Amino acid sequence: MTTLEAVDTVGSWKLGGNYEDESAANTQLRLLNLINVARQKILREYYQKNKSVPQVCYQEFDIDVEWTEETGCLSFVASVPTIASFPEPQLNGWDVILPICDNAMPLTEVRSKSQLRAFRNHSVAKNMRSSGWFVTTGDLLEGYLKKQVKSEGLVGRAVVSEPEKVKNFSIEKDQYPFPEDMFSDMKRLLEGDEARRWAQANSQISNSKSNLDNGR
Amino acid sequence: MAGNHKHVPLEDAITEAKWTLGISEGSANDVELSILAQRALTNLNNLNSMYIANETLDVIDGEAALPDNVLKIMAIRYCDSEGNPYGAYLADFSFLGACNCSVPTDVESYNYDNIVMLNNNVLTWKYPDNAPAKIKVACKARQIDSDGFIMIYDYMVDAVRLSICCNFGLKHIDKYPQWQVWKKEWKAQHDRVISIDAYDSFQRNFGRIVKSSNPRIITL
Repeated sequence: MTTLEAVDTVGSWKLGGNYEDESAANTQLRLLNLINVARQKILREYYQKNKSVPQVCYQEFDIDVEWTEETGCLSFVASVPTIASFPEPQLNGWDVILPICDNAMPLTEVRSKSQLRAFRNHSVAKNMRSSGWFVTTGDLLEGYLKKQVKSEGLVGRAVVSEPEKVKNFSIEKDQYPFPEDMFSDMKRLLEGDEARRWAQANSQISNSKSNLDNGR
Repeated sequence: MAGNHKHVPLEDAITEAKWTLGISEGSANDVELSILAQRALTNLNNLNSMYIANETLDVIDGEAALPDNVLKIMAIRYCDSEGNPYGAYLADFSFLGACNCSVPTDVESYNYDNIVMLNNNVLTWKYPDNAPAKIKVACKARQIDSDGFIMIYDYMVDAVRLSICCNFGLKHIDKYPQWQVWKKEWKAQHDRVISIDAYDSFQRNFGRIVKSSNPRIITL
């Protein structure tokens, strides 16, 4: 199911709130946001139960990187879409970041900037089969490559919180990264009491009428 | 001879531990798992994953960098720029004495800690002007592959895997209530590895034991 079809499908369900905004595009965007939030909640529950995320939820994308030469390594900074987070023991939705070169080994994720710096000097780092290390802070990806790795760029594969923010993602052509058989879970969630409150709040904010007209 | 066991990368044990723990997606825990794996090797203290290496190293400005896999230096000898050894042996003779390794009295020998210092895997000469062009080092080293990554024997994979699972499970007790089962299995696998080591060590030294023993004792 493409992303646009997913929005149409969800729009046909009995959601809370009234989408009376003048612009159809705005309505689509709000529905898409609602789907994204529901998707992440369902995936978190799925992960807690199965300690795994369905493979269809991962998206592959190129990462635009700014390189800096440092002593003994190549550090980089890049802007990436927000990555979904999952409860312990796995923290983030990254599956892999690969350098673009021959026989590439993936980079290893660390949990904080201080760990990123500290790990450069740790004796274990020398013996670890990895191309380098990275940390994600919000939308910022930072890290470094080992000195022997000569890479032209990076490719990432991750569960992204808002799939449409991935570079070159088309909501008309690209599949929405969510298993089709799990849309029934999404329907149950969005038609439930809790989600009705999300949609209701969303509707009131999006309503073009003033609060005075709404009797508030 | 007992024959040789197959060598596999340490990452085999980490990958299998990730399957057991159900965290095979992503690399957020890899650093921790790698540290746990290397600590497991230390805790195993198995002799088979170490070997006696003989390295010829360049000495630059009174310093010689050792390979990363070196665990303990046993002896050093000075070499000229062609790599030909000369002069005294340098070794930790008190350690060798404790191991019942006698040193011939007619050989010129010094304790190396009076002459060089080992710091951060670099041998540094106390007086750089007296340093030779090259040295030969006999050292106890860990098995590594051509890229410098740690290799272990196939029969150790289960022990390392269970040590990782047990320690990782202990940290997330609510997620892994079976950590106590892993702990029991780790103990059993640890003992198995040690017993295989002891058996191999006996097999390797058997010829020497036979030579130095009374034949009548051997036939018993």
